[in-house]
Amino acid sequence: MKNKRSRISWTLVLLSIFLWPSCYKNFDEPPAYTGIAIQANHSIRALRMAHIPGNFAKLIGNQIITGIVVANDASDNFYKTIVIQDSTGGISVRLDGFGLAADYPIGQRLFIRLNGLWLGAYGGMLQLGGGVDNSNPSFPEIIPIPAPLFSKYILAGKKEANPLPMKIRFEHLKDSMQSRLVQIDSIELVAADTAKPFGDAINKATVSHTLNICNGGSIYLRTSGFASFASIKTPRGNGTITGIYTVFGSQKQLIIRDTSDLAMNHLRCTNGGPKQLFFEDFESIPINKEIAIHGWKNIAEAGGKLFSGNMSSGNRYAQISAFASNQPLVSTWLISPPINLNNTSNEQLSFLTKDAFDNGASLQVFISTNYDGGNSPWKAKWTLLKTIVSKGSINGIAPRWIESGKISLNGFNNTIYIVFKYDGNDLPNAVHNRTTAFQLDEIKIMGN
Amino acid sequence: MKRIVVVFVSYGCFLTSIFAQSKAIQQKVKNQFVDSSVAAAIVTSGIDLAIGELNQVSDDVNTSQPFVPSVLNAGNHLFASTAAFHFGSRRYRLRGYAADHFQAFVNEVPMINLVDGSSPWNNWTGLNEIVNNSTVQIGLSYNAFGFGAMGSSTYLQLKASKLRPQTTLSFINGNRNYRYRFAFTKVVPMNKNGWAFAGSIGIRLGENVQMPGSFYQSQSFFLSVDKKIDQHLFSLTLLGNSIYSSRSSAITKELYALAGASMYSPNWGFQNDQKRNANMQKMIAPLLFLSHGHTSEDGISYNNSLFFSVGERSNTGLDWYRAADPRPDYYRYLPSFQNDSLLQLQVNDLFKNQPELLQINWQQMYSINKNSFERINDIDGIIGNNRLVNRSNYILEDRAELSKKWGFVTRLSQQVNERLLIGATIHYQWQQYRYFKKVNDLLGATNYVDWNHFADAIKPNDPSLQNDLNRPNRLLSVGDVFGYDYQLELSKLTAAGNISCQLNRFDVFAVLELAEWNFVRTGFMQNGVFSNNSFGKSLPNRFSTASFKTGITYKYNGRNYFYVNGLLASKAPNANDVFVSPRTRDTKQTVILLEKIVGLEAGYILNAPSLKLRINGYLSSFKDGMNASTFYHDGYKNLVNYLLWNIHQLHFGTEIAAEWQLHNRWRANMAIGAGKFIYTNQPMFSVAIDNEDYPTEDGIVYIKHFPIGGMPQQAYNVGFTYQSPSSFLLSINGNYLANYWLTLNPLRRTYEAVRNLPPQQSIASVTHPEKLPDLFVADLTAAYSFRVPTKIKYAYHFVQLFLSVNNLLNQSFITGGYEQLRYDIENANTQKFPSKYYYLKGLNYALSIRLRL
Repeated sequence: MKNKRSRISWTLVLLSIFLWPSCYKNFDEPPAYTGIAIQANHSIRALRMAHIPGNFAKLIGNQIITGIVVANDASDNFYKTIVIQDSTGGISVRLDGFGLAADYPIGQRLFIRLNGLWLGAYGGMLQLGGGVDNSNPSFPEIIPIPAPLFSKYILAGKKEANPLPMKIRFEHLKDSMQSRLVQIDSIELVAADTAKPFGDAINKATVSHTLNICNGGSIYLRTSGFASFASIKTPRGNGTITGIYTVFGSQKQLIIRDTSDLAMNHLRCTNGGPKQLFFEDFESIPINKEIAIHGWKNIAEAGGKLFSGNMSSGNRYAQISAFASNQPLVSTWLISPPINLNNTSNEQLSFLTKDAFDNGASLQVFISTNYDGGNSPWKAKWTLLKTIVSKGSINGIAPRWIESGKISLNGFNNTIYIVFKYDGNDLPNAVHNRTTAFQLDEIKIMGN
Repeated sequence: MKRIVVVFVSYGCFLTSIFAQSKAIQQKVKNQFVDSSVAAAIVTSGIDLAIGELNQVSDDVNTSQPFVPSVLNAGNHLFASTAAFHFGSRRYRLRGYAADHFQAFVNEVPMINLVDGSSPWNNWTGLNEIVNNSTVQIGLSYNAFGFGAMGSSTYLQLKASKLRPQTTLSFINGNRNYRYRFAFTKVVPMNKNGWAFAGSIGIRLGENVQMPGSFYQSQSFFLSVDKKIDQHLFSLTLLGNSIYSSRSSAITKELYALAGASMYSPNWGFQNDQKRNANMQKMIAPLLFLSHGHTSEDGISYNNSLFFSVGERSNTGLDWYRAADPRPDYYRYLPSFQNDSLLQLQVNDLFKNQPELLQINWQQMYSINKNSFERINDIDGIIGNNRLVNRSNYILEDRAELSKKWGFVTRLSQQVNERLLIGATIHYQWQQYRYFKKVNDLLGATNYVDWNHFADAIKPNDPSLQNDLNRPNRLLSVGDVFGYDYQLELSKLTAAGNISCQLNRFDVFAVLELAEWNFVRTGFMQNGVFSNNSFGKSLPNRFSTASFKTGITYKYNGRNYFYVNGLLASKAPNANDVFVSPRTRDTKQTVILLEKIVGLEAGYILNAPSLKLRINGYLSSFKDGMNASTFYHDGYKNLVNYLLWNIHQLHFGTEIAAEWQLHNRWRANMAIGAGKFIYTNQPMFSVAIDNEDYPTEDGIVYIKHFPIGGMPQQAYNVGFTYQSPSSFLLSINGNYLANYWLTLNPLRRTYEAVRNLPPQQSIASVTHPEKLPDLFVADLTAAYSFRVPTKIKYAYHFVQLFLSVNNLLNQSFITGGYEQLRYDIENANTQKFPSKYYYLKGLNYALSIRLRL
C-alpha cells in the first residue's frame, strides 16, 4: 500500500519535471488600422480665411478639417511641425513632439478637430496650435499641441499616395499658398550660394540661400542646422525645386523635405545662358607643321612625334600618328591652356575625333588641377575623363567626325588643364605595331 | 601567512584546552537533518519559513535598487527573524549593508554573482519545503563553513538525507506577487541500503494580482539522491526555477495622483483586449551539485562539492528609432510638463477622463510600424545593396544574459579535541556571462536595423551610427542579436583557514581568508563610436584580497553571554564598476581601489526560559568603495555611466530583540533596530558617455554626512502572541519604520548641479536628501494545525493552516523610492525629473494550507 502510493508520487514528481510547462504568453497581432469613419466639414481655405491678421484666436465649434501630410520632421528640417493640405490650401500644425514622421508620414490623411485649438501667425505664417503664449505681450506665439493631446485633436485616416506638388509660377506665390507643397521650374541658387552647405550643422543654425527664377523673381531656400542633410552642399545647376511655401514677414521662403526635392542638374540660366569658356578649332594653324599655338603645350614624352596641323575640305584640325616613327613607344601630350572654372558651374567639355587605319593606338583625355604648365606634365596628377573617341576605322579614315559627348567637369575647381594623350609604337620588324592616326577638332568647354 | 596564523592559534588553543578543566559548557542544538559538522546548526519549523516567504512584499529583482532578500531562515537570531518577518514593508536591510554583503551558499558552494556581488535567491524561491533546511549566520559571528559574508550568510543544505522526511501537499492563496502556489514534496529518508531520495515541485501563478497588467509564473523543481557508502555520503542535487514575470516600475507622485484609485503601472496596455506588459523577465538557471562528505572516527571531516550551472535571463523592453517615446509615463506627456496652465488642465482632464491613455498603446505602435518604409543603403555592408525596407519604428527587445558557471568547494575540519576545532576551506568559482540584446518582437514590421540612435542624433550619416562595424546596416529579424554583445569571464579563488575553541568561560574563534579575483571582457561587436576598444579581449584584471575575522564570547553562565567580534577585510571592486561602459568598450576607470572594511560588533545574549533577550551594537566602516550606475544624462543628451569612487561609509547602531513568556498562553516580543548609515567623505565621480567618445569627466560629490538611502535606518516592533494548547496561534505585530531616505542622485550634489541655481533658491533645495514619512504597519499571523486519522491505526495526516496578513490598517503607502538620476542641470530644477516611488495599496494576505501525508 505504502509502496504503491510512493511510486505514484514519484511518478508525479518526475513527470512534472519532464513535462515542464514553459508557456510564454503569445499575443495576436492587432488588425491593421483602416482609418476612422469621420467626415470633414470645413476646408483649410475656410480656416485660413477666418484668420484676422495680427490676431490669435481660439477656435470654437464642431469644425473638422482634413488634409494629407505633405511635410513632417522626417529629416528634422521641420521642427515640431507637420504640414497638411487639402485641395483648397495648406496649414502648418505645431505639435510638441519628436519622431512625428512615424505617426504622421507623408501621404497620411488626417482629420483635425478644430474645437479648442488656436490659430495665429508667426511672422505672417499661419499656424494651428494648442494654445497661445502671451508671456511677451508684444510677440504672442502659438504653443504647439502637447503630445498627450495629439489623439484628442488629430485622427488618422488612411495612408494615401504621396501628394504631388502644385506647379506654380513665382508671381502666383501669395499668402493663400502658404504651407502648400509647390514646385517651381527653371530655378537656381545665386552663384554665391552654390556648393555651400544647406544648413549650418556645426552651430545648428538655420541658413537661408537665395534662389533665382530664370523668368524673374527670387525666393529663399531655408534649411535648419538640425536637418539631416544640413552639411550636404547645394547644387550649382538649374532645374526644379519642390518644397513647402512659407513666409517670414515679407520674405518668401521654400523649405524642402529632403534633397530629393531638388532636381537641379541643368545648365544655369543666369547671365544670358550657357557661356563658352574655351574653344579651339585649329583654323589658324599652319598645315603639316607641329602645333605651336600660344598657351598650348605639345610635348613628346617618348618617340619624338608631335601633334601637327592638317586640313581637309577646308577644315583644319590637329593630327598625330606613330606610323613610320621607328620607335618602340610613342607617347605625346597635347595640353590645353589653363582654364579657370571658378566663375562658372556645370562645365562641359566636348570635342570631335576621327581615327584612321586603326590598329590599337590610343587617344585618351585627362584633366589636371595641379599641372604647373611646365614641360614635365607626367609629374602632375591627371584624372582620366570618360569620353567617346573615334575608333575601328581599320582600312581608311573615319567617314565623319565622332562627338565626344558632353563630359561634365563638375567636381573640378580652380584652374584646370585638359590633355589629349596619344600612345602608340612602330618598330620596323615588330608584329603588333600600333600606329592609328587620330584627328582632333572643335575642342570646347561650356559653362555657366 | 594563513597557515602560520592557524598553527599559532591552534597551538595556543590546544595548550589552553589541555590545561583547562573538562567542564566545558556544552551547547548543542540537536538537529538530525543538518550536517552534523556544523555546530551552530539551527532548526526552524516549516511555519517559520512560511512566514519568511510569505512576508516578502516583493521579490522583484529588477527594481533600481539591488535586491536584498529577507533572510530565508533567520533561525533563533531573534532580531534577524523579526526584521525578516516584519520590516519588509520598507525593505529593511540588516545594518544597512549593500546587497553583496548578504550571500547564499548551496551545499557550501558560494552562489554569488561575481559581476555584481548579488546572490541568485530566485533560483530556489518556490521550494519552501526544501530550503527551510538552511543555516543562517548573522553578522561577524563564528561561521563553521568558512568566512561568510558581513551581513548574513545563508547555507542551504540541499541533500536528500539531510532533509526532513515528508510527503507534503501545499497550497497557497494570496494577493501579493502571485495568486496561487501548488507544491508537492516527497523526501524519503535513507534506507538500509544507504539510499535517500528527495523531490519537490512547486508552481506559482498570478495575473493582475495587485498591479493591473502584472503576471507571474514560476515552476520550480528539486531532485536529490544520496548514497551512503561506509562513512562517505555522496549526493547529487539538481534544482531550478523557471520564472516568467512582469517587472514593476516606480512612479512619480504626479502619476500616482493621476491614476487615482487603482494601483498604476505604466508598463502595460491592451492588445486585442489582452493586457500586454512590455517589461517582462524570464529567468532560468538550473543548478547541479555533486557533493561528497566524509567524517572519520578521529574527528576529521571532509566536505566537497562540485557545481555546474547554465542559465539564461532576459528582460524585455521597448526600443524605438526615429519615433516618439512610447512609454506613457514619459515626463513630456504629463500635465506637469506644460507651462501653460490651460494646457496643463487640458492634459490633466484628458488622463482623468481616459485613464487608458496612461497605458501603452500597442495598437498605435503596430499601425505605425506597418506604415513605415525606409530606403536602407548598403545593407549588411554590401555597397549598393539598397532596398526599401518595412522598418520597425518600435520593437520589443530582449536584454539577455547567458551564463555558464562552475565551481567547487573543499572543506576540511578537524575536531582536535572536544574543545578545539580547526578547519580549512577552498572555494573556486568560474563564471561567464554573455550580455546582448535580441529582437523579441518587431511589432508588425518586417525588419529593424542595427543602428545606434544616440549616435545618430549627434552625427547623422556617420560610421558612429553602426553598433557593429563588422556588419554595418544589418537588417534584423526576430531573434537577431543587436545593439551590444559582450562577455565577462570571471573567476575567484578563495582559501580560508579557521579555528575555534571552547574554553570553560570563553569561546574564541579566528578566520583568515585570502582571495584572488580575475576577470576579462570580450567584445563581439566593433562599435562605431569606439572602433578601437570595443571588439576582442580586454587586458586581464586581477585583484588579491585578504579578510580576517575574530571573536570572543564570555559565557557567564548557561543563560548569559557577552561577545565581541571584529573584522578587517579588503574587497575587490565589481567588474561592472571597473569598466566605465562594458556594453560599448573595455575602457577602465582610471583609479581602481580595493575597498577596505573594518567591522566591530559586541553584545549580550540572555537565554532564560521566560525571557529571551539579545542586545547588539555594531560599527562598520567601508573605505574606497565604488558604485556605478547608468542613466540618461540631460546635459550630455546621452546614456552615461556614472561612477562614484573613493566612497567612505560608516554604519553603526544597535539591535535589540526580546521575547517574554508572559503567561503560559501569552507571549510578547519587541525589537529595535536603530542605526545610522552615512557617507563620511566627499567621494569622487567620473562620468563616461555610453555612445560618444568624450573624455571622462571627474569631480567631487558633496555628500559628507549624508544618509545612505534605500532602507529605513530605524525600525521598531512590538508584538503579542496567543498560543492555545490546541495548536492554535495568533500573533499581532505593530511595526514602525523610520528614517528612510531616498537613494541619492549624486549628480545633484556636485558643483555643476547648483551652478545655474536661481539666486533666490537655496542650495539645500537641490542637495538636501529626501526623507519618506515614517510608517506604521500592523501585521497579523494566525496558524492552526490539526490531524486527520488515516485508515491505518495510530497513523495521522497533519494539516497546517497558516494565514499572514500585512497592512492590517489597510493603508496606502510608499514602500521605497529613489531620486531619478536624470536631473535638469540647466535650470537646477529637481522637479522636472522628480523622485520615483513604489506604492502599496491596501491589505495583503497569504493563506497557506499544508497537508502532510
